[in-house]
Amino acid sequence: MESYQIRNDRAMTQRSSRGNIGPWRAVAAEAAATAAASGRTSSKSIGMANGGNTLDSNYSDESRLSGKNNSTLSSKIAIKSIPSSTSPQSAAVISTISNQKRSITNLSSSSMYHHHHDHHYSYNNTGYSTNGSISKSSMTAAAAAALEKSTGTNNGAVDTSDEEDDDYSSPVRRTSNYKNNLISASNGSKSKVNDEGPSSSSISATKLDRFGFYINDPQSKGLSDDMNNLSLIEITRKRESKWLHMFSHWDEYIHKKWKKLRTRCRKGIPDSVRGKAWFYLCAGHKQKQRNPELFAKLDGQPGDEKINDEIRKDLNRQFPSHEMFAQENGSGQEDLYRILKAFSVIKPDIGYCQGQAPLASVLLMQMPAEDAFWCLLQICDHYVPGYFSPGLEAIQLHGQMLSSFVKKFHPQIYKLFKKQSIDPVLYMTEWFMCFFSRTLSWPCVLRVWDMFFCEGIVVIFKVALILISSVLGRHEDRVKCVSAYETLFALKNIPSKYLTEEFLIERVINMDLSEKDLQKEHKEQSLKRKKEKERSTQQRSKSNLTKGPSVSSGTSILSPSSANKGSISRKSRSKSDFDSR
Amino acid sequence: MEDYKYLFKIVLIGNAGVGKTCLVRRFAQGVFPNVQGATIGVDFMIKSLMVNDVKVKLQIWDTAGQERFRSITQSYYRSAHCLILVYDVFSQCSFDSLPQWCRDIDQYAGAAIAGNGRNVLKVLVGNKCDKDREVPLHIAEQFAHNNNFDLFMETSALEAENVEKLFREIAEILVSRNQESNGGTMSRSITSNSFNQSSKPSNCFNCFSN
Repeated sequence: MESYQIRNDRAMTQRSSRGNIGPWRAVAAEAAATAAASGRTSSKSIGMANGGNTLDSNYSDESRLSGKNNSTLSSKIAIKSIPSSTSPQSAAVISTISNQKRSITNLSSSSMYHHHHDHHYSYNNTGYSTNGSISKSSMTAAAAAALEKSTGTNNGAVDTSDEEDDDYSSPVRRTSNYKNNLISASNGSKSKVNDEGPSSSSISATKLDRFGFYINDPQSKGLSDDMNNLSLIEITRKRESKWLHMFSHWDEYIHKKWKKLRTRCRKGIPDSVRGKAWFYLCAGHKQKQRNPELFAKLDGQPGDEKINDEIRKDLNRQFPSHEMFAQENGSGQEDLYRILKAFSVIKPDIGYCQGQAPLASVLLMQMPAEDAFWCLLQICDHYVPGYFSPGLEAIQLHGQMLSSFVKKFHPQIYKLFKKQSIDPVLYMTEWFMCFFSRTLSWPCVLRVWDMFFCEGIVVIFKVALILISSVLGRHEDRVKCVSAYETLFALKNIPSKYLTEEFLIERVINMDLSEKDLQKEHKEQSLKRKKEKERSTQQRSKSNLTKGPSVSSGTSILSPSSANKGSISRKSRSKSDFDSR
Repeated sequence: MEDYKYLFKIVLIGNAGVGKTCLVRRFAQGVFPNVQGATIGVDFMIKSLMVNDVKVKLQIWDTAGQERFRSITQSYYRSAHCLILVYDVFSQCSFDSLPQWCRDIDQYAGAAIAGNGRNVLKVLVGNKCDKDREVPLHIAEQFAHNNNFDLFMETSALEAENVEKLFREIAEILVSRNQESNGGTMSRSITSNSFNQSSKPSNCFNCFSN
């Protein structure tokens, strides 16, 4: 079928010193993809880390299998590349390797910093059709024509030449009415909330923006006249057909034209194809394809009542000014409950973290519940492993990394933070956990997520650094911050002009921060954390007094002995870190 | 710098969804948000008020209630002048969690303070008292008494009941404590350099942080 190529093999050999937190490759997606390519379609070859769940016997079998393989893997991870091949034998080899890689994933999780997923499957369904994602009718005429072409006899003949428009700044407008029929694609007029809108009369009279937000929401862009700008519509049409072409040639783009794919993500994914693009970019579609029954199975499970209660409490607290979530017990909230509960069942070691609800909500605005579930799973497994686990080790580590980048990029700001003893978790937790979905203007959130799905957490670091420098970059800004309170207030109340796509996106694209920088920093900071913990453990044993913001709780701190055991104890270490609390 | 005599740090803790953020917003901004997103991490608000002609600034730390966030928020207990433990009178479950919270307070704030002879002001608050209650008043009072809370109050952020009063009483107690121990000469209980626990002490109130 398709070639399988491991890129950035160097990364494969790098091992995190912090177990689940610092892996270097998002390999599970590829593993899954490879297995699929090799024709192994049984549900036994589920490519996911940390299953350990008894729900799905195949699933847990696989996890155990992976676990068994762990010890033998380190010798094999330096595979340079796997030659392209279409022969079944090669496919079998690939499949084996993919299992090994998956095991590595289980061991050290996957890369948060490198997001290039290899996909191997033949995709010829250009739009979601049955589950309400994208229908031809929701696209622009040009895109629909392109779709017609690509799904017709002349598959691949769509005019999606590699020529690129050079417009990174212009917002890509919604030209479809995806999931809801709020906006008429044909004439661009905005419709009022329909009868099924929220019961609150004060809200129901309010108009919606093109993203489904009530226009009085601070994150809403309001009713812009983008839709009447013909040149923008034309750009959108072109981009839509390019994305449709990419969907039907996904492997090619993932393997050979990844930079082009990245460029297109950076320009903004057209609204009409965004949900599907995210789903593909995180390889959620691959997981779904290989585990077609899993979500339904999880959905049917009762789950842990205590966790369910926690989830229920948060259902009406997510994006209340979005029409999907405004209604108590409406379909949006119901789907939100389903995917969060399903996640907590499949990942009992994580359960439910409040940071996940905003993510799930954003996903639900773009795609059906099942796909959103897979995306959420991929995000938590491969983009930000450890972010939501009890103890929140990963987020604290990223806080330290961010702080270190501040030191490098903006030493004056770092000096201020240091002087005022500002711990990064005080301002970055919400940014990073929710991927800025509660911070930026909505169109900007989507643009950032477009890039995030393609490039990974580095995008979030970039946005954070840009915002920090925008708020505190000038001397006069810092002078105003007489105490830590003022500084934190400034970071928590960023002027809206900095939160727009017009301001942020180009800066993010131009910012010089690579995945390599992140890897390096990760290594340094996790080492530092380890040392700090050892120190504080020693101090505590002396004085029985915890010190330092990085110290979480007695149970979450590694004992120096276990932390020093190195790779042999990696499994037990990560277990003690993430599972046993 | 603004002109104020005292700056006190108050940290709100308690289960997710008991109304900590609403309480703070009611007090600091005079609003009751119809829907309040869950607090992720820590949030801050500040409010000044006059106590006996003295300007007092309250720096209110609003923390995420979910258990796993405690690893981030706990380390900030110990430099607090006052900890407000909030439960929901409508939720027996949130009340049942109080002993665990008390253990956390003792572990992360108690030990450090005891050595200094100064206790953090411990306040128990039953919020949402506008709703039908699940937790009887006398049970909560008994709990507050048994666990050495300095103050217990039932509030309603929705109806603004007792909210102002709660923070005012806290401010008054803290001011009088501070005046007692310093003969009224010490001002600015927290300076810019003593925002969190790793900073140098500026007076007796945050000595325990070091």
